[in-house]
Amino acid sequence: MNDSFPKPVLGSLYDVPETFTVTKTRQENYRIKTVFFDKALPCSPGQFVMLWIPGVNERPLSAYRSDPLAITIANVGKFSGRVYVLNPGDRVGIRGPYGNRFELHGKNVLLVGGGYGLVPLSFLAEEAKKRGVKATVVIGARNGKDVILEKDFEIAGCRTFICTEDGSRGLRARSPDVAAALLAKEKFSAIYGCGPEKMEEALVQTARKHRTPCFVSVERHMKCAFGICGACACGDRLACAHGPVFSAEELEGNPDFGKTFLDWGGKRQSYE
Amino acid sequence: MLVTSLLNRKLANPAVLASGILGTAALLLKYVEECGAGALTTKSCNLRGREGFQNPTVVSTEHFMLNAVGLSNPGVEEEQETVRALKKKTKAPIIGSVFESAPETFAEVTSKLAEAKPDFIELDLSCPHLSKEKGFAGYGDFSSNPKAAAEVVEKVKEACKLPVFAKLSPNCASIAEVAQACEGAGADGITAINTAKGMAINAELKSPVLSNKSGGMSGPALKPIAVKCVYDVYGAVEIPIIGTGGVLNGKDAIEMMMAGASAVGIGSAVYWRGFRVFSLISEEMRAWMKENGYTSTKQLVGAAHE
Repeated sequence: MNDSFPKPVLGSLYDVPETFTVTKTRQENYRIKTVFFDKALPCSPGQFVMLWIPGVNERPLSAYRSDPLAITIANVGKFSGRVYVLNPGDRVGIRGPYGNRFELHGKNVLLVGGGYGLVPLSFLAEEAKKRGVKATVVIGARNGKDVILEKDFEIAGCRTFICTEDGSRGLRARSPDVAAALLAKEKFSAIYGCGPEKMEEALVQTARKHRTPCFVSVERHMKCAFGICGACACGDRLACAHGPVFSAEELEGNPDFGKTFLDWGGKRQSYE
Repeated sequence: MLVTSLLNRKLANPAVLASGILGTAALLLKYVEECGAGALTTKSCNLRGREGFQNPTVVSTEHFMLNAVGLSNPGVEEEQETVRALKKKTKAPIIGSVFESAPETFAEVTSKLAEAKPDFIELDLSCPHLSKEKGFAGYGDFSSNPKAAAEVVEKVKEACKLPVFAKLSPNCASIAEVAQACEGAGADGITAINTAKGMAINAELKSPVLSNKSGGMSGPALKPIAVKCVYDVYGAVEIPIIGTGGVLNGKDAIEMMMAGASAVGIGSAVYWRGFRVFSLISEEMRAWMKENGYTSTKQLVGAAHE
């Protein structure tokens, strides 16, 4: 969203949850599942939806696919645990899509993901294939069991590098380091990153060094998701409305990126 | 043309950022000033801070927005830092918003925030989504009961020298009586209005959408309620009014001022028109005033009462 996004006062503008029904789920690894819904929701790689389970919570989730809508969830907490156990036929509320998207630049891109940050990158790799853009992906994970969506990138025709923190699968390295090694040898038209913010910060620095355009997706707690409440502040930017995708230039000098975020109550917390 | 006096302060224009919108961090508030706001209201804080409610906390349709964020805030000490940081960055007057659960604690939180020297204090006497919560029993009633509202204002004024605006709710029998009681207790101004109580239900899921079930309604649907409240308050008190509720464009702002507002609160409008809504409203006001022969915002205030 830019600063003056005119929204129609009358029209099909409804930022209240619409009911979606689960049609199938797919196990990605021991704790990550993809959930497919009964309808399409026009959205692009990098955009997110707000998924609501009545009586539990509503959280932002990156879109995995748009037609039909699908999301990918890691079972790591109370809310995600409830999404993880959704079955075909179960109904949830969805509003969105929100935020901006990863825009493909040039013909030879590098995708760098950590953990479930691979989700929007898988969506982006599919689009790159459709548009004849060559893509290389670095899949980063804590260990071999945590590697996800490998097959998606294979289907999308990506050259794939896998790295894990403990070396149990692929290279023993962190994904920004693998990206740095690739950038030292090759030229890419643009880099796209999604993962823990410290990882993204390292990636942005590497990209700057190699003078390659770089875009990362910034994650924050979100409430409204449409630029009103300020919960997702990152410097003077809002992750929901100005982002979640930011260019390395936009993040230059941002005092919060990679450093601090607001917790649910609005207290500033450190990533350290 | 748009320079507006609010008590002892000058605002570059009458568009005031309303409390609870984008007020979570000093840098964001500075950004709102760059987007054209004439004054900035911080997000309401209390002594110890609050987590607020779980999501969904904010939803919107084309006609209205509904929220029950639940007054999440980091507590007055962190809010002091926000105000201090903001003071170094902005020229626009700062309105420090506070809430608490009793007159004494209202006075305490106000004097704490006053140490950071905002230009004004705003007392959130009327958040619609806390009345039944433990520790906040009766909280939502400060503004629906003239006596309770006056008691808070009186205690706050004893404790704090800064000018104090009492923010009032439309969820009461007579907002004019509440405003009069606040004026009698020493309030320097009135902010009218807070959101109106509302609810939305998802039919298939058979559930109220907001996690708090009900919340406060703002946006275009609130405007006629707000205009009527401001009109009534203007007729009842001498102190200035910040007219807030459903203002989306310059003409809405003029309507609010003609009802009696000296300045105009802008909040949910950011949803409909983007962050630059503040500048847009100023431009639209200027154009309308020029076309209709007005040279100063002063001429607009209460014009519909003549």
